[in-house]
Amino acid sequence: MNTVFTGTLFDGETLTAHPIRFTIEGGRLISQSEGHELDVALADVRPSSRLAALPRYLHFSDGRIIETEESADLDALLTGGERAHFTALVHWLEAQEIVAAAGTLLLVAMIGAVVWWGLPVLARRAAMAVPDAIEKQAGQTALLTLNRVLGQSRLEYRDQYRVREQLTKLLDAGGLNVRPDLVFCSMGREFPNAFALPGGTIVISDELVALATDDGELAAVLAHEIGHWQKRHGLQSVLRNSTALLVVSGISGDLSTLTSFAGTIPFMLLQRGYSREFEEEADAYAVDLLQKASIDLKHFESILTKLQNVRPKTGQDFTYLSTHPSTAGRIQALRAAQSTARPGTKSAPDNSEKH
Amino acid sequence: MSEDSTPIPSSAEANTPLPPADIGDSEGPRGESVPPVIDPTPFPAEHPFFFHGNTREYFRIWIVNTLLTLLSFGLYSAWAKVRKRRYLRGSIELMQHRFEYLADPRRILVGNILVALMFLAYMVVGKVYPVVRFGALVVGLVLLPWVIVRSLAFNAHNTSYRGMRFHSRQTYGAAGLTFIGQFIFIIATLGLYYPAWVRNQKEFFISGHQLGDAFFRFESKSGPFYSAYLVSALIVFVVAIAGGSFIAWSTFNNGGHPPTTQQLIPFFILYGTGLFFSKQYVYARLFNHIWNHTQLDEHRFKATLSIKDWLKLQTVNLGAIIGTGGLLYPWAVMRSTRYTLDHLHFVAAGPIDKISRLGRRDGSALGETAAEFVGLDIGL
Repeated sequence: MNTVFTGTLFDGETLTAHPIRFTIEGGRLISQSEGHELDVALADVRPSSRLAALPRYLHFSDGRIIETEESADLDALLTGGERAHFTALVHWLEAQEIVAAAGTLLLVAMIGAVVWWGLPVLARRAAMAVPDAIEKQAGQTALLTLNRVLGQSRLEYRDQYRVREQLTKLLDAGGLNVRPDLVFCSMGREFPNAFALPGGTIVISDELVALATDDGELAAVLAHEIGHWQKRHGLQSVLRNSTALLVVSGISGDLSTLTSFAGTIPFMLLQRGYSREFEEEADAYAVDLLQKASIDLKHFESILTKLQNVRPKTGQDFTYLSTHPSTAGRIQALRAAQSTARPGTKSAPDNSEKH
Repeated sequence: MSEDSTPIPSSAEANTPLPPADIGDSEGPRGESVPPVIDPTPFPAEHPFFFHGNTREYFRIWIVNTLLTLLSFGLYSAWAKVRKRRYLRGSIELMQHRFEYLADPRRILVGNILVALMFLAYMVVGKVYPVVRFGALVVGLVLLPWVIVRSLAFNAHNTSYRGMRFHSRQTYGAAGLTFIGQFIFIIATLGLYYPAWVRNQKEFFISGHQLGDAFFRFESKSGPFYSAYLVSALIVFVVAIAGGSFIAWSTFNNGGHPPTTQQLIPFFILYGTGLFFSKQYVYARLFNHIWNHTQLDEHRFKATLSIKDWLKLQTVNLGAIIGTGGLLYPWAVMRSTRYTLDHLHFVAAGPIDKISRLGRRDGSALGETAAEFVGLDIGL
């Protein structure tokens, strides 16, 4: 049991290396090496903790140090320093291939969970905390970008009036005292579309107004967009995207990419629209608002059906329905909402007129 | 905080973000096959740095410590940092002996808590009195030299070689002058002073360091820094021109409409690649220049990094890190560190045994007094 260890002694005074042989017995570290005789109680020796196959260092209280490669054999003899059990456990964990493999899976799962569940929650909270002025500014930026792609509106005044009238009605019913700006435009190519931008700007295309021949249908579209605005879906999308970017930037350590991406966010909104989850939320909001305004949900159903029918067969830019829940699914959800609605709402007079 | 990823030779560890060597054939410490060097060697003698780091080993350490950090909600991060750094520094061998990293994680934890508390105070106070946010900027400027000097001192004091600790003895005044005074001068010169500033930073870092009673010295003119940054600026310029033309071209193709995000993807790739290459180019070029102009008393260093190989290596690293969502980061660190150390030599002008504990010669107790009560350790 009297293992003889070999190592190097440094006196802490110079860089000179002194080869040394030593033994550990009876709780003492003993060396007979010529000129470097040692007889020190192990309690006065502070060993460095084990780490992979690195050399161990035995620090003596007088500043002398022994460096030795015989780490594993030494371990059995050392009583260990402070918190020895914990570092021993960490060292053991670090030595296991199986721990590394399981750890990798766990890490991937944890990151996945954060991205899928954590980020949306954070994005929602952050979006709700953004001051109105900044929300407005974000909307302005988005509108500027949009304006470059949108055509001049050729909507007749009475049609514009129809839209405004429905908007007022909805706002009154919902008790909303901030009025969103309405922007009329033409999307060309017979594209019925509408957007809600941060800060309360609703962009609606002539084609959509033409399609919604019934005022109730128009109200349904507007209610849906008010939902996007009120739930701050625009900001949430921006934040979700930039958070994902933030993670990537954090890993690569290069934050400059973030700013380069920020400028393109309006394009992203324009192309992909909102996520399915946001659309469902906006639908639910719209149902609620329409019921408050005593507008029959069948109008919502009919405009959805109309949109479905004019939907381009091939996937193109600005596809209003591309990320939306399937129309069938939405209509089903609407019917479910209708059946649970109060009877009074159902039988309420439908005062929308056709033009 | 002003920092870039150019090398800071003060610490023996190559703390590059994306460091060199292969995962498969990287095993096998090469140091062991080297016969023991017996004096008398003719001087100057060139000694290589050996890197004993093993990718599998480091990956295991990295994953275990990263997970422990996450599971402890960050409390373990100080311990994780120390273990990872101990592994990196402890894997570097020079003249038969390794470097040792000695930091006490509890001190780093104190430093982390201090930083967290200051940030928290800033958030809370800033919420109540928004004006305070401007005041915080002033406080930050005052604190900056302290943070820099303490971090350097902590890092140096906790790195040792052959039982001798390094020291960093920079003053707050010098730090303030370098990082605040000269920074203002950069603004005044519209950035023209920047390369000279980088040079002065390096001098500030390196020349403040000692190993025992031996002094590190960095002596260089600003010219090489200017030419390195000139090339890097040219790379960015060419990319900007190419990127601008690309946008113009796609706008024209779109019939006047600005390009969509999908159409812009090649632009982002081009842009990112350009920035990446210019950054890595500067790193490799300055790495050689800085080490070749650094001395430890009369001893010198020799760096022979190949810019071309370095760019190749970092490109692969970046691809691997992005492709695996960061999981291959430890592999990249091992590769970079190994490549860097394979191209670094210590040129001893005489026996290094003469280097002694500071204060030993005049009998004073100077030397091991470097106070470290707060383990500030920012990534300079």
